Amino acid sequence: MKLVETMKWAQANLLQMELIEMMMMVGENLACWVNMGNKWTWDIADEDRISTLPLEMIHRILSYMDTRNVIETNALSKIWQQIWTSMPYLNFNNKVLLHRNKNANVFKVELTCKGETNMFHWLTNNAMQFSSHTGEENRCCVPKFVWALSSLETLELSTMHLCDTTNKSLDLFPKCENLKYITLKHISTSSLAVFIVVAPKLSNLSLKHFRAAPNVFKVVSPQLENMTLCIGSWGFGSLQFMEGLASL
Amino acid sequence: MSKKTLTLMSKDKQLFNIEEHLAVQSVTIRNMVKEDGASSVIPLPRVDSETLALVIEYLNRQQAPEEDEDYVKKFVDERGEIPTLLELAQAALDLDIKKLMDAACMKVADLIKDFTLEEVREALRIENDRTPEEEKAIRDEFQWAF
Repeated sequence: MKLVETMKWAQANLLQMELIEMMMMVGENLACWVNMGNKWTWDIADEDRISTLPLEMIHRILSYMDTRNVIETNALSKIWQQIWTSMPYLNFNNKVLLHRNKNANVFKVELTCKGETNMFHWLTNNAMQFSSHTGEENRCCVPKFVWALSSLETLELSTMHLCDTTNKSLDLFPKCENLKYITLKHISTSSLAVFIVVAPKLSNLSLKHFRAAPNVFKVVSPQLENMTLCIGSWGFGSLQFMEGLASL
Repeated sequence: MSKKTLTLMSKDKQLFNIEEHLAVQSVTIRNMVKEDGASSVIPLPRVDSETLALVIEYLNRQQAPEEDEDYVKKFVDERGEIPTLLELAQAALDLDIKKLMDAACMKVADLIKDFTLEEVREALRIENDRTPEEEKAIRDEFQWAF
């Protein structure tokens, strides 16, 4: 966006004080955020090609790079500080992880955030998909934050333990009201007798090879279309569908 | 019966014709056609004529869907210059041609991933607006990444 257009936009959209501030910024040839159509982009100088590109596109380019390289871009210039902290694609497929033997056990994955009490706060906003697979030898518990991800549409858990409860019945993922696909494989539970899944938008439910499955599994999903059951040696005591299976 | 043709206009007011059934691979154009029949010229104010010519070339390909992945990869490989790829990716973003946009972004990433910061700045014409002291402070803070 050229300077003239930027200023026109600024006059139409900013308060007087903000406008003065912005003019000073433009005067100093610093970056200024501008709204272009419905996309946020910015303008440093026409010369800086990549910084005039839509943020969405820069994120896409960076999504193909190692997370380590993405963090490095912070040092490019001031405006790049905003870019890596807002990456919507997070992958930890760096060279070390890529070369790992897929069949080798992982005993511990450590993510440490200094001074951050809830390190998954960034995930609770609008993550759409969560997949987790841990090894047979060291079953992990399903992390608690998953239970509160209201935006979640796809949930895949395999070889994990559903624990942290002494109750006899467990309402699974009570806040995940947007769930459409649930796949649970090789899940073990503690002393649960009743499992409850209430998911108004659920269309696909797949339950495979439960270990020490609960006696009763209640499903309340009026929009269920596909269900796969593959019951391991333990089996379910019974499967109850509160809303019937008219939609199946 | 002759096939319906659409006319696209680049930023520099050049006109390009393309058959409608090929043009609607762009979701943006597809929506325009659905809404108002798009009988007149479709303006693309952010796409220059050189880039639009490339996009038209891509849309005009006669490939079976299963060969599509290879084709788009080869298509961007042959245009391995970073400025061209960035223009192409932006045009593909505006026109909502996902495969082309992804392939172009991937190629840019591929080209710059082994660059040093200074090389990235040069390739993308980024002006370093930090003083050496400020840059050192950033590097110290994120030492775990560098």
